[in-house]
Amino acid sequence: MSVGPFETLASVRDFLTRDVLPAVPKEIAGEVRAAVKLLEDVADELDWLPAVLHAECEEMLALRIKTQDVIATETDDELRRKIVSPPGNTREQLELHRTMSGMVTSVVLKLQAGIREPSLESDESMKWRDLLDQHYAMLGRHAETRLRWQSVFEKRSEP
Amino acid sequence: MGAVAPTATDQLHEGLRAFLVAQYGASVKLSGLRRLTGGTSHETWAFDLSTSPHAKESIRPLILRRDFSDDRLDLDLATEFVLLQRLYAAGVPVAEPVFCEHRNSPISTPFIISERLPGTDIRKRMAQNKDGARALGLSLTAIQAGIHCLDWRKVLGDVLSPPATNAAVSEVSRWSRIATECAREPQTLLFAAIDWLGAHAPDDSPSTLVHGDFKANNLVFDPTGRVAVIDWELSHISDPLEDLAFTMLWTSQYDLVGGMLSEEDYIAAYEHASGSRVDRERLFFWRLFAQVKVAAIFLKGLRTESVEASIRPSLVMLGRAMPWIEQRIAELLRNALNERNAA
Repeated sequence: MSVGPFETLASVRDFLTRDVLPAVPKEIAGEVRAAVKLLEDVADELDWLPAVLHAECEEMLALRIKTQDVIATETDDELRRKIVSPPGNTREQLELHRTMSGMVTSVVLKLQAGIREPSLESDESMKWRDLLDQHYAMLGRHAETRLRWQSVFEKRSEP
Repeated sequence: MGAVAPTATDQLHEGLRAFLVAQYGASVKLSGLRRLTGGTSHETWAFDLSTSPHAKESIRPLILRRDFSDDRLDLDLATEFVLLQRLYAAGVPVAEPVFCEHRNSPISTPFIISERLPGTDIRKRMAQNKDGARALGLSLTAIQAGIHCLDWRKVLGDVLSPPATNAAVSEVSRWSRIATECAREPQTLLFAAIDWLGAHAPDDSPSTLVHGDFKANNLVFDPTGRVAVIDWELSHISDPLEDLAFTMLWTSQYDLVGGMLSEEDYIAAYEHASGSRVDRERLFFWRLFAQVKVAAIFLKGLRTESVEASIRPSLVMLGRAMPWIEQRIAELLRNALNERNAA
């Protein structure tokens, strides 16, 4: 077996910390430390990302189906199939996630515009608000998951 | 602001010395030039200046601030320098501005030289005096209220212009444009926040000078306790509650809110110091806006205008912190939605 990806990233971090950091001028040292931290965060992200992307795409699809009663939204079969059986490649999974996120953006903006319409009936309005709240809650959870992969603010322990 | 042109200390020393010789004559002595940490859009260098090498007491501690590039988010350096001169003269606690070179800079980019307070930052000051956190918080809030109470039309009327439309519309438009241009993928919550702000801008609000980035690491102290508010590049004329909301973004143990005062105590202290009531609904609007503004700043850092320079890892780190903003946007939008449902 060759050197694994996480071991490779760890050895680059080690090299930067032990050999590069003491050798660079003080004004660059902060950037080298940031680079080390980024490699650490990204290693952890790569470890969890495929499972997270899959779960989030499924959740976005489920909410999209729920929204169909209120807003005319279509999800083609090919997309559904990809979400149920996600691509093995992380880049393709990221692309799929991006596509779903774009669709969610469009729905959220429609729901926001809709609840501002004075002509919307009261019970319809409640339905729209409830769906919008579910979207905000879902997206908030997705953001919370990613707090683990950044080092500027307090981290979260488990995705 | 994404890229940094490498500056060798020797080159900077040489260029800076030439500039200072032109101001003070050949006997000028420049020593201790060193880069300070921090700063997302500019570099800060400390140095000591002596105009008479034989007299120790003539040594003056100074700071040089130079932009990484001309791609600034707000005030240009020359305007910022005049602003600082006026504020210093008006008794606002800022470091004394000394020089500004923005046309023929000998160090490749425009720069400002100002007084360096030989003191400490807020973290060290709080660590030295843990019991004094509340008193410190109250005095800093009073400084912020003092900035808002300044008669800006009289002091800065020819330096800063009020927004053409109302402040909320103008600020939302400016920062939304930056955030949208710099977004790399569908940033659903960010776009939702921008949409919400566009539909809920308050009709009228007072116009005051706002610092735009009034937070703990933009406050420095000298050993006597004198404080100076630094980094005025985001200052402008707007609703004072915009400034409060941006201060309320930062809530670590060293921050004004969260570290020194609770949110409610901070608002009460501000109301007491400014003599005006804080409209909670308007504050909510600016709190959501603050998230969009900081998102725009983080995202802009990920863009480099130069093919010769890389994006600094510290800016990539800020870009990766976007979920922190998104999570807060989700909370705020849910609050707005549920409050209206209850109403």
